[in-house]
Amino acid sequence: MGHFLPCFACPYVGTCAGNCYLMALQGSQWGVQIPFAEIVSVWTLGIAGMFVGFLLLAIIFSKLWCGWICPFGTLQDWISSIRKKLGIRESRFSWSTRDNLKSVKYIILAILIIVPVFIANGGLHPDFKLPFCQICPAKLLMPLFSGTPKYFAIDTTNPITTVMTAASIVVTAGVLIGMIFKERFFCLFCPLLALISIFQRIGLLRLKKRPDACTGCRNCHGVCPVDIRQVHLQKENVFTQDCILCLKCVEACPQDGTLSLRLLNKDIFSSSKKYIWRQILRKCGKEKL
Amino acid sequence: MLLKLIMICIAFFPFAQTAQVYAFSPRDNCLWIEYGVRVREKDGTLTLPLEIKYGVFPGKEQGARDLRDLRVFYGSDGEDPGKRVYYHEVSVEEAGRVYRARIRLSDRVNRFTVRAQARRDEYGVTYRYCAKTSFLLFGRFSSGKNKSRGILPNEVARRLEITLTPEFHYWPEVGNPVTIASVFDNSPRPYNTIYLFDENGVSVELHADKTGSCRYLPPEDAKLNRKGEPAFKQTVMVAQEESGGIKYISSYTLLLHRSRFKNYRLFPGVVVFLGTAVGVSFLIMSRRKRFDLEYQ
Repeated sequence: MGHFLPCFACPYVGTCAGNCYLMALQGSQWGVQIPFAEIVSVWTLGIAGMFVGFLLLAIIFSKLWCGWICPFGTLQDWISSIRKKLGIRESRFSWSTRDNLKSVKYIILAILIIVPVFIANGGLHPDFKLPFCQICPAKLLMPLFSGTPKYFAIDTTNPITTVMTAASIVVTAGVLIGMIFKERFFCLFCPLLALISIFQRIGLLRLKKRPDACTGCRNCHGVCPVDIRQVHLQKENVFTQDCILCLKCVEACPQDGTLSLRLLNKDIFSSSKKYIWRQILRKCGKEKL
Repeated sequence: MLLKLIMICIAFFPFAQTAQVYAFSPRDNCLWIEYGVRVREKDGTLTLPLEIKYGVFPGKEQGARDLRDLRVFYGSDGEDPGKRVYYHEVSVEEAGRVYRARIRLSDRVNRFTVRAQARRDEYGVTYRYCAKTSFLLFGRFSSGKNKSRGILPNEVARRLEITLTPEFHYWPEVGNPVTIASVFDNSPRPYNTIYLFDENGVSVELHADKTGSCRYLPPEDAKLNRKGEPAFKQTVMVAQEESGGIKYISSYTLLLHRSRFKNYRLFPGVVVFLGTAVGVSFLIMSRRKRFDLEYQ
């Protein structure tokens, strides 16, 4: 399926049908690790083509990739459901911490672009190649599903590889524990979410709110896995940069049409009072309204 | 007395003939290929400069004035996968003590093989030199049909050749064993000696078994490990054979890369992982508070 998927389809899983765009973006074949002298050449056609492929998918499906397709997001959801079944309380960040964390993913995105540029043009050691992939927790965790634990090893080839692999193990352990205690923990730092967010304004999908229909029940904020307050606080534009379009807020809203997912200005999924009651009754063991 | 003298001469004659049979030594000259730096051209093709050298590897190349009929060919197994490899001849230019050839490639993932050949005549003896190397190329574009392709000339077809088994999947690495064989006229040469020289001046003598192959484990190289993953060191293998009054000396240039996985240490990695996981869990459990929903 190509190397331009806007989700964490990890290339280190040997049987993966398509690969995460971040690897292509950092690489030398389709990414920014290219000498300045080659920018004006046929080689950049491949780079542009890969970016266009990513952009098309990001525009058409927007952050549905994050909320509904991303394998790493699915893993996080599984871990969260196990946490709920075990009765472990979720940890929440304070508002100030949450606000401060918003910029982290953009910083990571900037670093993963700048480092390959310096490798190709600044003499940085080539073992810093694919800097984000080297420390990404998906690289260690996702290959476990295909029976490959080797990325939990420390590569002692030279000091750089030793430090990078050790760092990846530390990051993975921290993220995994974070995922246990916090829903969609990694999505708070995901550079792919940052990249898709840059283009969400030109995307076909929107999350809209009718402020006149909102009763202020705060259900939307309560169920949001990434703690977005704006869905409750804001009047209209609730499709923030951190939103992963999981649509839990729309599901949880008890008023008709207050929150809706819109495709080209047409509602394709809206909040519904009837839907809420059906969910409540189903949980109480009754099938009929 | 005279008869005895004649008998002694006759007895020594076969040994004298054997003594004249060519015995290659590591100090003898051979022909080998060295790689230059691959250049990505603006039109999307790749240019691979090669140097064909004659002398003793490494670093003791001599002028090739005595060499005749130097020709260089390259072929790809991608043009007709599973079928015959067709070779294209490239022009060679003399540059001091070396010969240079530039191969322009535009193919996708393919294995390319380069062969150089030359001959020398000295004191009524003909020496046929052959140099070979092989590499994988991750290109971008298809080359399309190449009308100038052909097959190797006959004199190269009956040749002494060094082969690797298995042909490396990605690239040859230190720490991973390689099975090397010398093949003459499509038959393996049992008990043959293959000399191996690397660019650090280390030489190894390998002796083939009855099947004609020998196993070599390239040792770890700390200097290579400090360079990046694409870095390599050039290693030249040389074998010789004599047949029909012609001495064949063939080389194979192997680009050895550092090992990608041999230095992986799983146990320390798992220990670090578990230790970090326990530490972070403890930190979270001891510091987390119940946050109420707050509003500005």
